[in-house]
Amino acid sequence: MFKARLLFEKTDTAKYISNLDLMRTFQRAFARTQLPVGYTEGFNPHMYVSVLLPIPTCFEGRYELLDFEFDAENIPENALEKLNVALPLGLLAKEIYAPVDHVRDIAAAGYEIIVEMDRGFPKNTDKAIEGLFNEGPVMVLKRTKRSETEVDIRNYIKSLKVHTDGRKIVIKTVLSAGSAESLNPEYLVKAIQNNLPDIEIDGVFYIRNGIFKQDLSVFR
Amino acid sequence: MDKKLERILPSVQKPARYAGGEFNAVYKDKSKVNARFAFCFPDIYEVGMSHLGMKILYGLYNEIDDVWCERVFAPWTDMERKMRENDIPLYGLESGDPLSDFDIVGFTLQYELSYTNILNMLDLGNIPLRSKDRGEDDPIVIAGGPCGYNAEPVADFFDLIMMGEGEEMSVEFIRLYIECKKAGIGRKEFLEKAVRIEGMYVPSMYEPVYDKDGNFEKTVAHSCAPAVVKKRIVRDLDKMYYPSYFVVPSTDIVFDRAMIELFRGCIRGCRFCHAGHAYRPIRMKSREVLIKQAKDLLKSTGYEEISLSSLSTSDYKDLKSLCDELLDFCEEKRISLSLPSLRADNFSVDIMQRVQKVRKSGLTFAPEAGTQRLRDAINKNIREEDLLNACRIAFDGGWNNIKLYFMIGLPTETDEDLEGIADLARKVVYTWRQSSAIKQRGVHVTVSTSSFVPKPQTPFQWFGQCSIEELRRKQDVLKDKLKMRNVTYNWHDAETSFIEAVFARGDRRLCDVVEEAWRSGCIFDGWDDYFSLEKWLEAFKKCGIDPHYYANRDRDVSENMPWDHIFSGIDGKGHLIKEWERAKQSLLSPDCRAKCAGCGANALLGGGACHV
Repeated sequence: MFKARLLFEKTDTAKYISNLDLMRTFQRAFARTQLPVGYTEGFNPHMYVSVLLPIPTCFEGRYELLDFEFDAENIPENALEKLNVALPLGLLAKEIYAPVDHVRDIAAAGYEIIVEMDRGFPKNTDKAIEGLFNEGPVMVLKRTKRSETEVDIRNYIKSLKVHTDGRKIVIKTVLSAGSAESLNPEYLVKAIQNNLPDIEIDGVFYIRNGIFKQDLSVFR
Repeated sequence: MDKKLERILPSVQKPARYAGGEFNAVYKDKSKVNARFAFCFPDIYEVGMSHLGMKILYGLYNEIDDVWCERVFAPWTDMERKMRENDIPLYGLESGDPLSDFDIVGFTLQYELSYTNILNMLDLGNIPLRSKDRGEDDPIVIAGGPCGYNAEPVADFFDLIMMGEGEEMSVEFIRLYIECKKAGIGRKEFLEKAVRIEGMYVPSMYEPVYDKDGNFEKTVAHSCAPAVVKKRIVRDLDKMYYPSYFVVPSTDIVFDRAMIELFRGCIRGCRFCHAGHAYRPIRMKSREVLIKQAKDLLKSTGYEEISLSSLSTSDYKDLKSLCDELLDFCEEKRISLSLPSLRADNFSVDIMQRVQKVRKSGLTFAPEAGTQRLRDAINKNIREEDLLNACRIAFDGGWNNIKLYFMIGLPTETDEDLEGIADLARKVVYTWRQSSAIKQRGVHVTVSTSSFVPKPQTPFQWFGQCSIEELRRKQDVLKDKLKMRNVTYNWHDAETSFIEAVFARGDRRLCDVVEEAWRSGCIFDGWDDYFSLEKWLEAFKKCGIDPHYYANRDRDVSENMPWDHIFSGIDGKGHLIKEWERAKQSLLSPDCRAKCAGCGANALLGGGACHV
């Protein structure tokens, strides 16, 4: 038995695959590779796959992780190549390795938020957004499965930079993520809409590009 | 992906339906193909992607180098709204190109209640709804599928309809199209050439004639078209194209599994069954071919389940050895085998016990009627002992969940037959008490009834459907009779069955009603959340058409039918009338293996005998 971790990208049309469907997509892809992957024990055995930090549907993922097992001593030869042949458009296997960190050590995730404004935007919008998240509290209604609470989203922001590019604003940010506390970057956009009404947004795209530990070193 | 589309997808439910990019989806360079085909399924992705016919034709067309076939499904209403708001036309899932860019737009006619979705899809694709309004720059709009055996209620919307099995004629059709396109031949002349291919029905070349009272009289063919359109079949299924891959969806669909097709046609002559008549003659695939096709599919898809498809699985001659061989292969790879459409009379213990080793699901039987008399009248040749015996075997093997399907409103049905349904349910529960190995888990019997819809090209095509009120009364009788422990009763709404019956045996005058209904907002009529009888009745009224004339009127066998110019292979005036008369006397007819009933379908094999 070899416990394995897969680093992959989820882009293009694969962005729209939900987390549950993603697991099934990987199970079938592994079946197509005919690699010796591990199954769970029990009455109804199924291929063991576990997505480490599920990404919201429609977000592009550049640093996605999935744990699975090989029914072998080591990573089989050409496993990565075989997997890539078996994956649908937009899923790209980058690396298979023995897990380094434990899933509970996930503390943050990095995002790029691309906000499109077809009619352009007021001058110094970048400064206004940075100002919004640097000064005073930014309260939003945060929903969990059980409750709704008003929180200051600044408490979840580890870093944030804004730059403008033509009719786009690009926000690069690192936010809390993982089981202890986490923030979906959509709250940032919601806060911008609430607090900066001059900005007329036509489209927003999210890219998740990193998963980090507490000290903001890369989670492996 | 188109920017506008990318912007709206995060705001709709299940965006994966609209994204494409699934494993095994076929991408070609559009500058290098000569014909682009849009295969349109008039329902949502999850339903359409489960359809075997689409998988076959998608593979078949894409096998041809200079043809690119793409998939198109009906967007759910949230997506449709966003598409209309943002001016996004309906598009092919592979290229993202609008429907109007395609050479051929083909719909499958699976179900009468999907007709309004067809119009909606044409409209969303910026294609004129009616054949007569389309010009040289518009795609050729075609159709095929089971409702084609009476396509008159939608005939005005199609340039051409393919009758019967598509594996051979689709290739002939697309080759002719490419030839004509290269030669600069226009659509009218192309259709005149296409109609010469056997199985091609060009509705504009046939005129329905009505008498002075407005009754259908006959259909007159133009001189360039054959008087009668003969259904196409593929004679040798072993040599027929079958895909070695399926597009594997990245989101959950209704039937998400590999499928192999055991045979076409059916040896049973159940008198209510459209498929059992329209898909004749019976032709089997050999076990060797099936095993190879199963292995290829499982390898290329990675599916964890394979199902054996046919009208009546347990009638496949070599079923036991086929299952044994498949299971040897599947068990090792943890693939489960599912056997739908089992008959209770030749249900095999061995097979079920082996299948059960991989996964145990509920068992479903379809006695269709509650008494032996009525089962004889509909020619569902199943006896009560067969059913109870099958249940006994299943209970003994550890099953405790049985579903029983029945129809109400069948010809000659009385309340005694309804009581028979309740009796049968009671006996199944009693059988469980006697034979169950594990009583602690209890037993669950589900009785479901649908309302009978008389279908064209069957022995019941002359029968007037029971009124909605009468069907409801029958349901009430059953609700009362089936109030018993361990039994759940489900019934299918009678209103949709009524509209289905109107269109199943309608004529060309109903095209106006379909369009009117769609314009008044009818869509997804097969879905309970969208079906509106009120809107449909309003549409009939506006068009001055009485729906009961089509659905509820008993027809005389001397009456000409709007589908008489479509030949399914069965001798309508002879065999179907004989079967209708036997039904009225509750007389059984033997199955094709026991004795040939002389339906005439073997003539489609070129004089050879059926592969019983």
